[in-house]
Amino acid sequence: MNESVNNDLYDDKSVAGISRRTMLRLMATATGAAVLAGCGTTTSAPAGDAAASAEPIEMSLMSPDRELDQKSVGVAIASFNERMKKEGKPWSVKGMPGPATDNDYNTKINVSAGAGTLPDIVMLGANVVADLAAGGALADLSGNIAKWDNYSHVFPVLKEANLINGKNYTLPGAASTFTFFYRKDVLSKNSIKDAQPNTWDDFYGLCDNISKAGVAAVCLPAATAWGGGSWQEGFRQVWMSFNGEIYSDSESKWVVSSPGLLKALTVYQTLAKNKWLTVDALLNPNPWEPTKYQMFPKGELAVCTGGDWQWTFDWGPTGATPIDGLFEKVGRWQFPSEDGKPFVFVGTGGGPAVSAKTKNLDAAWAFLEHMARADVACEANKVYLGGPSGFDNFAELCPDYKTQVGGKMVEATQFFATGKILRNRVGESKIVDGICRATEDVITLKSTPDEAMAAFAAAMKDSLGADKIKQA
Amino acid sequence: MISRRSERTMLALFLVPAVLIVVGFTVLPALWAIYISFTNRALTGERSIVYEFVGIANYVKLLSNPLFLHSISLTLLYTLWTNVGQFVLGLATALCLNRAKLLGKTFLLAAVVLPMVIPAVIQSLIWSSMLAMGEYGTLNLILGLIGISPVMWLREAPMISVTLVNFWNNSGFAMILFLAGLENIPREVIEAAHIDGASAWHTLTRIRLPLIKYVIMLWLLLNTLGCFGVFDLVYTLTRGGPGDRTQLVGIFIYDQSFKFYELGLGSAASVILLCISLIIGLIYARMLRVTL
Repeated sequence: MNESVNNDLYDDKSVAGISRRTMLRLMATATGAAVLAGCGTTTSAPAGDAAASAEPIEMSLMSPDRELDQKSVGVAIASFNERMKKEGKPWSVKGMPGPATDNDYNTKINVSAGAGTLPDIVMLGANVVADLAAGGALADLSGNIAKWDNYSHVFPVLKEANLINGKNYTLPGAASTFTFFYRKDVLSKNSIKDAQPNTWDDFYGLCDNISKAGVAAVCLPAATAWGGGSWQEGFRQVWMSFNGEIYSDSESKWVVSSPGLLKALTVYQTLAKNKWLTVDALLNPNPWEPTKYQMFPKGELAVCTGGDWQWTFDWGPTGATPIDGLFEKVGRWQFPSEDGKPFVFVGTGGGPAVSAKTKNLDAAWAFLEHMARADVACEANKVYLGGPSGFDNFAELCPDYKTQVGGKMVEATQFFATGKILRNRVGESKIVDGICRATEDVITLKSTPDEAMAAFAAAMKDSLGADKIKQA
Repeated sequence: MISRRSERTMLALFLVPAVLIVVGFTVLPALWAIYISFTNRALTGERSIVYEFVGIANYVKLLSNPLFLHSISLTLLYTLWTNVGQFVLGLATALCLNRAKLLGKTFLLAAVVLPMVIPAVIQSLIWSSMLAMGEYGTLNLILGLIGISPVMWLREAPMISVTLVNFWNNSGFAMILFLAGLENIPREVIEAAHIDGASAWHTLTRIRLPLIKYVIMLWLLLNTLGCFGVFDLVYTLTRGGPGDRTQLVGIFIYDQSFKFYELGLGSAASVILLCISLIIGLIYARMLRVTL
């Protein structure tokens, strides 16, 4: 009985008295209307027109939805809006928090850029700038920067690292120095000398001693779960510790197979095989939580990599997991290298950028300039200081800076002269993803370094194109 | 009196808003995705502006990509186990609740349905905490109380963990549908079967289940399509890892499109998923004897 009722219902060729033809007509009409509605949006006023208008212009600013980041940006926004009001200018900025994690934030930025809805001002990580610029999503700020008074005070290394094909797309001045961070107290308690490891063999020796003391030795970001951090906080530096190129400037090609890359992957294999690396934690969906937020603060992990923000954002008094007596308990080691000359990596090239579709580039630039002013930065630093200033006169203009964060940020500035840099190039996002996969295969011992490098090279050939890669 | 023609026009007009929404937000984006799947468009970089028609290259690449085939097979397995598990749990609960006199019936109903009102991402976050590694996970803390060592659930048994979480999340939906079907079976039919000497098993397999088979098929259709498109639960719990052990098709598509920024490839994978879903939908519809 049920069956016949259902058949009667469903076998009817019309639905509620509307014939199939009527439905098709309706759908065709609706499709046409939707297409017309879609086309209609392209007839809006061109971007530049609003600039000429005296109407108030509110610009949107996207930055990661992390409490300290938001508070710090909030200081700059509030003072800018107040200043514009006093100066009688119709410009204001409104904060627009994006996703909190780097991976999700970058995805959001790229999706917005692809849809043409990038906020007027966006805070960018260094590894996405070149691709966004190549996609025409960012405004070229070179003209503004050339006329910018403060530019002469930007450290030369940061100026150089900021250029993409000779142009500036972000405001130079943001930087972070990357090193190993280690628990001095844990090493001392276990009678392990904390001398700077100059070579990877020195480092392995330290890891072995730490491991024998029953403490997890090292967290070197790797694998897909950490996303961009696997490159920025880990692999990039390890690769640079070996001789040879990562990117060939003369040929404009990424190196996807080389002795240096193989040695870098071998470092990961060695650490994983000897159980010195926190492999399980690295495969966790949010690997920074068990490592940087749990094990390291508890002294259950002796060494991890990262940048200057860790002094505040991760372990500072208002950070994610404060460490009491931070400066006494935690020290820094430079990255060991093949030639026995340890180095610090200077990460820069990211920072505030302006959407190519902004309605008012002048207003957006005014905000960027405002953010970089010493008095504004000095005030924002009271809320959150995540990295050393990129301006050589900042300590004079903001005396507090010298003593903030135990003087660690001023200390980091000294590495600008000697640190290694790697400029952001088109295709870096894909290199980062490829490296995440390669390191995951190596630390899980699923592949040997040779196999992982071969797979990486093949994947990069596929995604970047054969003309954008080279095998050294 | 309204003529038949006017009535049809009225009905058509009432349908316009819904049809516009479906066309604008489903049909057109789907057509656009099909178009993009034949190009090498990227989400960022030069190919986000200048992209080319590449024919079926993306499809060829996908169908020869072991990772994609792996994600398809994982999705099929996930769908199978989810359907089996939820069917058993949903039916068992529905049969319990279908009894006229059951102590705490309302409480049990609320307890089974409760997970359905929690947003999927929140559910996943709760379970992330439950299944967290080492002694930091709630489940491990509980196991520790009875002397069992901590287990790395999401590392050692990621697919099982994800599937079990899905049981918890969605068995309530199966239960509601099955219960509605069971409640509609005339009591006389069951009583007659009992008088004729039918056992409980026979009553279930020969009377109850056949009489709710359309409900079961409808649930199966919805659940299967849901499993094929699952994303939020897996992404929040494991992000497709460790390695590619929980990389279901939804995660694969997300990774290609929004992590590797290969929109063309991601769209092609979506189209393949759409085709698979359509085939399954048609099979179920045929089984339901529904004309689409």
